[in-house]
Amino acid sequence: MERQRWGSRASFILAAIGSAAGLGNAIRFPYVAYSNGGGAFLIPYFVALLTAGIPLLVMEFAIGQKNQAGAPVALGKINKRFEYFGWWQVVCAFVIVCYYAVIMSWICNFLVGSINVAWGTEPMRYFTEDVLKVSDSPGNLSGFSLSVLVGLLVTWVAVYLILRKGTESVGKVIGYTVAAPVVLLLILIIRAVTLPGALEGLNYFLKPDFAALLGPRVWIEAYTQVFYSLSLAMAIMYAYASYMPEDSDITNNALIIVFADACVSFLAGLAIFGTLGHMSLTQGVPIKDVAIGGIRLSFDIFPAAINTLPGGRGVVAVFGFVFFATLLTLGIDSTFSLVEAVITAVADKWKLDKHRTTVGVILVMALVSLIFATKAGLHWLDLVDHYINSYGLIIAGITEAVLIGWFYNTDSLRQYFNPISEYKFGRWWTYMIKIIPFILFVLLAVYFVEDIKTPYEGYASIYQWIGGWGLIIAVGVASFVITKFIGKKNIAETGQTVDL
Amino acid sequence: MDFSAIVMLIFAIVVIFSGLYITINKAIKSTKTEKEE
Repeated sequence: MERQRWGSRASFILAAIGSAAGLGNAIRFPYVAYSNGGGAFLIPYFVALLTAGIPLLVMEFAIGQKNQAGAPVALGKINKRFEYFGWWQVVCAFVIVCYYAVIMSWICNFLVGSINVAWGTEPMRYFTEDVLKVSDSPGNLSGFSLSVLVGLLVTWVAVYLILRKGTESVGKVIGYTVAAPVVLLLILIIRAVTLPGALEGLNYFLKPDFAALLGPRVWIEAYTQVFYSLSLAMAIMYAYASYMPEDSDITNNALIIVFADACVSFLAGLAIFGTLGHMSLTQGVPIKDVAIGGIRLSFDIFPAAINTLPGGRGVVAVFGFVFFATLLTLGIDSTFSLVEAVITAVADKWKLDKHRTTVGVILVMALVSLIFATKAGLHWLDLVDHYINSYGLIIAGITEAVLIGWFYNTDSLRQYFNPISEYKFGRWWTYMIKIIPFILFVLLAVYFVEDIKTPYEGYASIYQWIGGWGLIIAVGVASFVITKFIGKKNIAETGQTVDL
Repeated sequence: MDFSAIVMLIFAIVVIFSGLYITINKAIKSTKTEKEE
């Protein structure tokens, strides 16, 4: 069966930008930057992009493109034992997309709700009571929230429609879903910076605190942000690169994606802190009290900030719609890229028909995602998100880099991509792959020990085990079972070569 | 806005947008050359 191809180089670049620039750029980066030295954070952030983001993205592109396969098969072709770590990434992607789709459902609800400013003067109450109907504990599932279910159905149908013809159908929508959030962010920025108090908000975002750079925390946060933001170690970039011809550019594509991703993060920071500055001035609330990241920023603080815009209810409705449309368009291509990573891995491994695999994978994901659509869904999402991001993905990323850096001839990879690329990378690339993840591994080990001692958000230990440590163990066991038992026969049949 | 914040704003804009401009320009030139060949 002939492998699918991207319609053009631009389609591939846009799809990868769409995957990298997701909700994290809008609701994580501005907060992380603010709480880690403000403008000074840009220095470790750019250093992290140069020393880890670009080298690791190039590595994933090179392995995916050279082996013309998704993460598990591509890594398995390098060394049979590495296949396990490919599956680890795929299983993490599977878990993430199951709750990411539910966040998309919440965004759909707020997007529709923005038409009549349904959140009124209490966005958090609207979010938890009207949309989520959230229960008091993770153990109290209490059935489903209908509005979340409907939003979830819309999300999965949209994902299926976008992925139904693989790269061909993705190529048709990607231009719109990548351009739209940039245009919408520019609208939000123009509105924000013309408001009284906006410059004070931007001051909080950009004023550098260079003393913060002396501590290890800022640097860990910068590297972690780069990992999450570039969709590294999620099996996505392997899958996307595997649909490019083997002689396509690698390094310049990676550079464009890295700069575009940084651009979206930075624009989001300007839009968010400009608006928060105005809110702070009109409500008399200190910016440090409203400069929060994540779910609270999206569904509580920012809608409340939009409420303070001058011009009445109509203006609030318009800018509420623009904000949630920004989140929706940022999130949708990250969602389908995660699904595509799983589809590619499964289809490549068992040589399955791509369309049937797409339908099957989406159906299974939709079923699993129902747990996050229950009234206890917010609790489970919070737990799973913390553990899978803090442990599952970080373990996957660092292990991937350490294995390739130390147990594979990385120079042979460099010899593959340099002749076909527009920018030639020197030996520094090899050193970055070898050294930086290793240092990160040591630093994060200290952080992990401290984090493990403190129960996350005070959830009861049974829930920490089910949604946290139990999940991480399940990811490891599932990856092992797929590699050792389910897929064993097929490795022999495909006749993969060991290239150590 | 403090002067140091303005400096960081300019720093970020220069790094990000010049980086984007240079890399996209290189890709466009390369694609044009490939088509001509």
